[in-house]
Amino acid sequence: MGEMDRQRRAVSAVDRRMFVKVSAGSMAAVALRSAYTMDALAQETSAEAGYQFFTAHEAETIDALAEQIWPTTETSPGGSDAGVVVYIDRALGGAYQRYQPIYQAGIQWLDDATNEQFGDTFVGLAPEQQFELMDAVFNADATPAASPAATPEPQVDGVPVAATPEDTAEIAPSDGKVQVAGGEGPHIASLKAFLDLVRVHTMEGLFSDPVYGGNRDFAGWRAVGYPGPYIVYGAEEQQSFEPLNQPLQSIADL
Amino acid sequence: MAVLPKKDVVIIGYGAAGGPISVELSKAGYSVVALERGEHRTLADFAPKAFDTLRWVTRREMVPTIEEMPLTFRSDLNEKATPVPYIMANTVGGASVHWSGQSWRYYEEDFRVKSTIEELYSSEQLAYLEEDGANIQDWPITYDDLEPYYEKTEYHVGVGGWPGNIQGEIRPVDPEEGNPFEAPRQRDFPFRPLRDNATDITFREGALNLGLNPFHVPTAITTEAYTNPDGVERAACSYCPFCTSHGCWNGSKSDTRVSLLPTAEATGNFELRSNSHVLRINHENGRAVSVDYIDLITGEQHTQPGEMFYLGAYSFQNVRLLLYSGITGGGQVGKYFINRSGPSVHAIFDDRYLNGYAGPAVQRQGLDDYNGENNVDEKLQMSLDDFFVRGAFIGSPSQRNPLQTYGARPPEVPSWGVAYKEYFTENLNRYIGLQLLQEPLPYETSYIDLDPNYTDKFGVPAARVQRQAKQNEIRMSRYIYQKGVEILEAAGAARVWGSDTPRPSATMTHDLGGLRMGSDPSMSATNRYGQLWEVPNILVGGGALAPTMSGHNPTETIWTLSYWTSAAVLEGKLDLEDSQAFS
Repeated sequence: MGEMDRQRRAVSAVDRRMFVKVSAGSMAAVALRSAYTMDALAQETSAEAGYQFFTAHEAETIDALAEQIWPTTETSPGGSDAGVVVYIDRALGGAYQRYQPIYQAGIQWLDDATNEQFGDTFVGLAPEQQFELMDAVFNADATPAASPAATPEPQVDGVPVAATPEDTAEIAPSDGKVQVAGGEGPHIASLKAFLDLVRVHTMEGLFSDPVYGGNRDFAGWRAVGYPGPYIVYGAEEQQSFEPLNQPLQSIADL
Repeated sequence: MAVLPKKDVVIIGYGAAGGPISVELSKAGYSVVALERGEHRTLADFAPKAFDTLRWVTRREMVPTIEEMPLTFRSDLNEKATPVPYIMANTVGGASVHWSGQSWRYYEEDFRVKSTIEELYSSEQLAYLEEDGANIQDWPITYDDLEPYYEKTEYHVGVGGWPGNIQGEIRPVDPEEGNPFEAPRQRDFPFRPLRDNATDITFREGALNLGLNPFHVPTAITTEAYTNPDGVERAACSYCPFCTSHGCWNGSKSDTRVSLLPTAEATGNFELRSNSHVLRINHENGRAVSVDYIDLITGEQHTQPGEMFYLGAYSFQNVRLLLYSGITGGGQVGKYFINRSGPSVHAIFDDRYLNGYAGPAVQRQGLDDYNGENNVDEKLQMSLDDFFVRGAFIGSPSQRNPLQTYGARPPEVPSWGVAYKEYFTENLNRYIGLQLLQEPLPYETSYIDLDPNYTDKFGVPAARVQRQAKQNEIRMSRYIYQKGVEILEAAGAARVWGSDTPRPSATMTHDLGGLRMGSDPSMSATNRYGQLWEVPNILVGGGALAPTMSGHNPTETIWTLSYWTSAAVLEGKLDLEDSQAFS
């Protein structure tokens, strides 16, 4: 059996355990998603230090995942220096409260997988081992139940828009009786789906406004050449075929 | 439960459809109330501090949650449908608040698709449509019927463009601009559309290199200070890139709220109740008498009696409300649902920056050379296995900021890690993704009904959507994909990729049919004015009325149909006691 096959088998064994754990246990406790309120916005954009949701170990794990997803390179900082974990932590305490059990279970599940394969938790691994495990998971064949790709790329007016977490995590299936749609909260059926949710949230932490705690010192926007919110564009700028080199700004600066 | 004073007209849902009829009937002295589920957001809610893609695009702040407005989807009628996220806004003004503003008249032939294809093609060529259960009907109205009301929409709501055809004269204002295929208009637009940006110039070059006929799309955005015929004043667009999925910060993007609400309110006969969620329509002896609704702020339930009821919610919700109220139209309510699915085409350029973040999505060149039956000569030469009917608009959207664009990558680039980061940091501002607006067909197996397994949080069954992509959509996607690739290659793209396979889904923001208008009550839900055959004092608005879809965005037609129905009421062309007694 080749190395890759062994990794895939280990991953799929863990997948099955996670499926049982998530669907039978923690999901039932998820409250209905509260409407997105200005209170949540104020809470997420507060400058308070410290984590609002994560334990130290959970925060280290998400920080390491964000760094793997968007690594430090010669030209720009990675997901860790960009403060992605701060963004995700505040979101889980705010608008994404319904994803709290998924993060708690998903991190445990990740550690189970690395313990089985390498004898340590994910953050205890060398970055090369972290990459190796994530690469195997992301490249594993998705079971039908675990495939977020079953949801087509969302579009608004024919224009693709990036996925929301609800497009990535599935909605919990009903057990055969009539129930409120979405009432049992979101649901993931594989480690791959969890890592994909972390990937989507990492992108949000890189490319949302810095007031949400990520994109620290404009690390995400600067890397890709996006200046942040500008209200007025003239013909000369819009018809240029060169970089516009605008100073970076946040909605806090408007 | 309080029974409120009776109104002449009760409008359920205050979006695009509810706008014109509320103005026209309240001006004429009718007492009108609109019950809108969403909040009443004003310009201040979209002010610069709200220039925040995370709030409006990623987290869809204006869009209800699954528990609030559930939708379920299945393609295979033997499978159980699964809940899917809703993507249309609940807010005063509805989806006209967060739309792009691409604003079209339908073609003359869009109202007579059945007749058009039967005239152009042989029964052998069209045989596959019957195999697939296509059910195509002509509209019971023509372009000429609607033309005066299209003009009314363009001047009152506010639509700018380059005319492609004024009274038969092609491109009468600028020989290089305007859609040369457009149906004849009696009068020019009130103002011009948005300017071209770097993406548009690049797309246009590619199209011209292929000998095609590109033009800047008509846009429902005031590009100069504009006062409409009712005296509503509008500011000029600043070309801010927080447009699609956002509300407009200065009211230059036309919507029911900024364009029409002030006029309705000035009559003194119109009342808007936001945060009002309609649960059911009460009816007796074949006539609607009242609606029950919940005030979402207080939780109180009210009953609103009325003489006439207008369904102004989104297509799914109009169908769901009727079915939940026990109005089935002899099985016609919910049938012939149509929405889009199609290919995708993306590209990056290595000889230029396009800076697609620096402007609104609807700054857009496009072309109709492959839309409708404009390419009939090519279709007549196709093999039976490649042949399809109808087509697509192809255009070049903008508003490509990183939070909306991070998913766009060629298949050889992974979704994470160093290779992904290097790709995205190099190419965000060199990227373009096309809009490929295919016209799909109505089928017997595509319909909306009530889901037996899922409800909303009030216990009302979810709208369940059944939709498939059949041979016509699959063949069209292969063809349109190839055309999109050719245009971008002719524009000098360094790498082009995409998918030529349609993937059907519950909602793609153009979700029409379900309450189609027709001439025969056994094959349609409403008559030519949108009056339900079964309950004559319920009038239907919105995209649900459409028997066929068109390869253009539907919103201008939705406003226009509301003017059309309003005029029929005011001119006494319909009888609220008898849907068959119209003139």
